[in-house]
Amino acid sequence: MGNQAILAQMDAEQGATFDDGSLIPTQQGAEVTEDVDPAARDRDVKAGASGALISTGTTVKITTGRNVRSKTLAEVPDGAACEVLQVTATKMQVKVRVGGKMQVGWTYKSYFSDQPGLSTDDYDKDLLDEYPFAYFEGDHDPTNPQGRDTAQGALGDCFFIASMAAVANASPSTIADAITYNATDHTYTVRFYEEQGYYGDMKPVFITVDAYLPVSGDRSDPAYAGDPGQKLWPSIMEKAYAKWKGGYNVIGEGGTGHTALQELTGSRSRSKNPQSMREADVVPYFEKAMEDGLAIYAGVRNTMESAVQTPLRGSAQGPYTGTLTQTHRWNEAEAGTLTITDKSGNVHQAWDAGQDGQRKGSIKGRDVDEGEIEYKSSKVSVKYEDGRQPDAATDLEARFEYHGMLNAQKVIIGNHAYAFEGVVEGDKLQFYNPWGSWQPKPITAAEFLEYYDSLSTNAAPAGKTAE
Amino acid sequence: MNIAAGGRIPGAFAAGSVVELAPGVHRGALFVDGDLEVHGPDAVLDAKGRGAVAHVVEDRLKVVLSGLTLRGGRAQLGAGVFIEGHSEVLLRNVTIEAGRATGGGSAVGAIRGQLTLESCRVQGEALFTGVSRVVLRDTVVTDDLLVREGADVVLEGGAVEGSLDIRGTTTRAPTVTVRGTQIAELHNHPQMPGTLQ
Repeated sequence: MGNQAILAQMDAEQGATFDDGSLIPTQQGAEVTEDVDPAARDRDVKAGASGALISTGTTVKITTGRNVRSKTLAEVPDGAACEVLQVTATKMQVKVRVGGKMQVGWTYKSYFSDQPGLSTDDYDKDLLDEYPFAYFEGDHDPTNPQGRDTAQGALGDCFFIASMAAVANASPSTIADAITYNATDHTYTVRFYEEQGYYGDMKPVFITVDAYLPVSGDRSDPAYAGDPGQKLWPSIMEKAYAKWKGGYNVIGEGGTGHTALQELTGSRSRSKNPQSMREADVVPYFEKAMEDGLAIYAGVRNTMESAVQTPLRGSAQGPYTGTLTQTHRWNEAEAGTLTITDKSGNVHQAWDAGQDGQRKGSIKGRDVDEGEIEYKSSKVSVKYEDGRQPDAATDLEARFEYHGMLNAQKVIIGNHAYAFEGVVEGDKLQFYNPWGSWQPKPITAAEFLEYYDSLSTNAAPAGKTAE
Repeated sequence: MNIAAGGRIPGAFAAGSVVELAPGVHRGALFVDGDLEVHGPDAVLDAKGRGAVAHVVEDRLKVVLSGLTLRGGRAQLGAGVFIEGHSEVLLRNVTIEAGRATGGGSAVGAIRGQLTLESCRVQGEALFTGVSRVVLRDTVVTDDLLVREGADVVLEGGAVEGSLDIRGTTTRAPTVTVRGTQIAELHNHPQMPGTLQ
């Protein structure tokens, strides 16, 4: 049976239940209604904590103040993520997302459920993702977990998801053994490993989480690590990892597969620089690693250099305009990497002065009057100073780097992590995209060396542990 | 061993090598799996995007880099210098230019080892995490200095021109000792703070 989102706000009289018939705890086993002073159910909520507002209704009321006469500021969805700013005997001041902005208001402390902090909007680091928490029921004890059970979702933790997938591919029992379902309180305890001191052992660390997960859309799917294989374990493991490290927002900042692999297995990871490998050694290296039962994680470079191209057309001082090639809807030129060189030597080199996050960049240069590149459309325009011009438009050679989909035919995505699956078609490498979609085609050794710039292996599960 | 500028250096040297790089630009990245010394002065080592400029992978090594400028690195963590093994690494009069590191540390990163930077200039982000033990002596970090997990970092003199950003986990806290270092901005995580002394 696949995951079914069971919302904690279901009618209290009917009572949302687990498979065994017991009531889903909305608040440490207590039921909360807004009509009752919940002081008796107060918990130890601290200012600065991240969590969710979980009630028995479909919404939670946020008021402008903490008094009974305070006006309603907003009704946020049940399970809304929050940050606690201050607490009183029965109430707490929280920051919650209301529509497209964060608002500060008051509600009962007893609605608070300790949950890892969400990630934030790409362009507004103060704006929490709009994903309420909802309860999920699923496989309590993962059986034969596989890498293809994982799907990354809307969090930038491909390094961790790919690491989980790599370990599951190499050693399913390592994943299965790491997760324990606690039937008494319907929580999960996940085992990770933490390296201890200088030359220290890998000590097991146990993190316990419930099955409330950030959800999107109709609340039936996890917003972050998901379940293409209808398994719950990737979501639970990701949540426990987030709780351990300080929040979804923390692991969403990125990390390294090298470290995540050993945190999952308790065994030291080994790095190899693909650039140090000879083409003839690549496939044998992977075959040997598979034979040795290693979990294998690989990362794709951020950008690729374009071919030299002459897309600009114009005459005299210009403007010379055109559209860069090798870009398409799934990639775009990297800001600050475009150069335009006149091979006739009449005008000095021009370059774009854009920076990450900008939609357009100015084109500068000693002989440039004005110019611009629009990164998404790859449209370029450059006009030279009076008296300065190339012999011909086709003398203007453009070079740049592009990010996003680095190879559309092989479906290779830049700045992304993959789990190795096996050698296929005799001499090609098959990787797994932890998105759970956009799976790459098998690639040759030469293509691996062209696109991948990091490689980590881990001998799961035979780690040096202190367990 | 003396190496003239303008060419590509070997990707690895025999254990115990002492390498003198002539002034000028040398192409290549160091994959360090044996004891090694590499000296300038005025030598530039440009990895041209082919991994971390200096990647110390093994345990129990002694590595010294001096009088170098490291640039053009690209790695998961620590694009200029990445310490992965439990080894002793000394950087003296080294300039580390920012490269690209997807997991942080555009200039330097360490997850293990004992790393000492003396009179260095770190022109990018520095990220020390895991169980790394790091001393920055009279060293300037022009970007952010991130201290995570169980790292132990000592700052003596010099400056952090970006933010000194400290964050542990729910199971451990890093330690940062500051002695006479100018810190432009300090962030110690409120819920998972490090020990600042």
